[in-house]
Amino acid sequence: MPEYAQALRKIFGTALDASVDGVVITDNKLPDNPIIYCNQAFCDITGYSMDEIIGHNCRFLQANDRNQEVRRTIADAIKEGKACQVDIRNYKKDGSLFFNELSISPVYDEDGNITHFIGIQNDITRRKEAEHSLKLERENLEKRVNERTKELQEHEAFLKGIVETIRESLIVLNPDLKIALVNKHFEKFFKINANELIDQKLTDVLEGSWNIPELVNLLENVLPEHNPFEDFEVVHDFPYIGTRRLILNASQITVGGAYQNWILLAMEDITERYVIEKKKDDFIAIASHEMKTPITVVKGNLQLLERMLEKGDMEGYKPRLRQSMDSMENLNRLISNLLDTSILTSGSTNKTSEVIKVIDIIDTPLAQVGEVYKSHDFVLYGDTDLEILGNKDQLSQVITNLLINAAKYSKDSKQVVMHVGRVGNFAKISVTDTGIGIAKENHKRVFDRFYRVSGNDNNYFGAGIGLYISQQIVADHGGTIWVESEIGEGSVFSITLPLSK
Amino acid sequence: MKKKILIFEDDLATAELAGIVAEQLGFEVAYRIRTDSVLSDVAAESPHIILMDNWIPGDGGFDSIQLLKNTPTTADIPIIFYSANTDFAGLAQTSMADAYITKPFDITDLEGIIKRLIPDSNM
Repeated sequence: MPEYAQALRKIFGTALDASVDGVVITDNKLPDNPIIYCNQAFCDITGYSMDEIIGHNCRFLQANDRNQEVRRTIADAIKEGKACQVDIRNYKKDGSLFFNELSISPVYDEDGNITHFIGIQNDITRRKEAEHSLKLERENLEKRVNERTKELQEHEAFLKGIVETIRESLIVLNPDLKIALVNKHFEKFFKINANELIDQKLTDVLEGSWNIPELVNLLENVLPEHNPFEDFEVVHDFPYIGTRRLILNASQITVGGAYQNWILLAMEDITERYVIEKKKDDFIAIASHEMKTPITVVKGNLQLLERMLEKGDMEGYKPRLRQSMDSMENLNRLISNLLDTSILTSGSTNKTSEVIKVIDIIDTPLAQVGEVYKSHDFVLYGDTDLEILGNKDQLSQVITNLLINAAKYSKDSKQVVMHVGRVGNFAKISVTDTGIGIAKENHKRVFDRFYRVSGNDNNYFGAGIGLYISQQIVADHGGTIWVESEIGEGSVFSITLPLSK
Repeated sequence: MKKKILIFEDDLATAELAGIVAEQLGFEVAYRIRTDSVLSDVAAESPHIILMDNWIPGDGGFDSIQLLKNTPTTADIPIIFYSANTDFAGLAQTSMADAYITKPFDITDLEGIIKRLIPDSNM
């Protein structure tokens, strides 16, 4: 061997020994392809000493792990005399697993026969483990993502369920006051489809109804400092639904990075409640005013009587007594009416309805009013046996109110005429007086004073609350009440009540 | 010559009571049951003092008082504002009335107010 070749061989040998990759060389010309060389790195990787390796076929590294797919790849490559590269599970001397990145290359002689195979081995256990755990992590992550997605979807469905169930309008705004979401109730209440709202500025939608400077100021400037705010009252004429009184609650919410300073706006429609409360306040104001009026008269007259008694001068005491007693009677009647109102508002009329004859609701009031207004002439005619369905006490109260009004406002002409007749499926009862009459513009007003009167309202009409109550009772029975009258020519108050059959 | 009081009151029994109280103080009494034309009513009666109800048909007590007090020919006539309204004191204080009294009242209180506003009334 020339010196040069010998030197080169030594260099190669040193290079092989210095390599961190394991290197084995097998002799293909010997049976079972035994290992004839391995380097130090191979010994380090496998844990075997060089002496334990030489002479063996490489398969000893697979221990009992014989069913690996890659063996076929190796076998095929060897058979066909080709190079191949595989990742194969190998076992060290101590039995521990390592992943071996194995490259096998055949060595040919001049005649094309394979003389040797060279195997380069690389312990890629760490990489494999990393890949494996990465794979596991990926699978795990995917599983967790799926689980979380499901949870989120369920949670979202749950929250959506809550949002859609609430009987309040809800609106979600992004920081630019653009609408991100409205609930079903909002769509229903404002009679508008969500599609027409989403991504629009709150102040632009619904014909600019929401362009209320105080509200915008509140959302843009006040809310960030005072979060949340509650009970902001808005009275506004909205398209489609008219004037509404709303109470707004708002809170600014920040969820994660995506939802910075979003605004949740909840609105409650208190229009009806406000009207009811206003009516209740009016009722209380009127009721107490009406009660104080006869009390004023009684108190004043009693004080006058006391003075007379002290002076021993009882001249003219009778009218004072009479007036006190009349006022007490007014007060009593007023209280009956007020009680009727409270019965009406609790809506118990239907439960107390019975089949009654018209005469049943007329005879007692007629007798009672006749007793008070002795100088008046009450005339009753017509078909008083007609049967109606209703509450006897309440309808009697209506008749009493009509008779008293007729008597009270007909001081000079003392006849009050009452007629009962059938009109279609109704009984019609009319009370006619020939008194002072009512101006045309007041024909409706005499029945509806409850709606107009408040503490500062001077449109008060001093006819007592009997007609209002009467109207409520009659309406509650499915009937109507009205007046026909001319100033100075008396009035005809009529009611209709449905017949019982 | 008797002084005259003009009573605006739609409740006839109350009007009668107030009238008796005023008569006993030596006043001649005139009545109105509406407030549609207070200026001409006051012009017709030329009262020395006016007793005005609040809830009364027409313009109502409050606006009628504003009208009378803002009209030079009637501005100097003392007006007593009275009512059975629950929150009347607050309303009366914002009115231009010279005095107010809440129903039901003591007749001596009403007498006291009339005498204070018309010191030379006959009593």
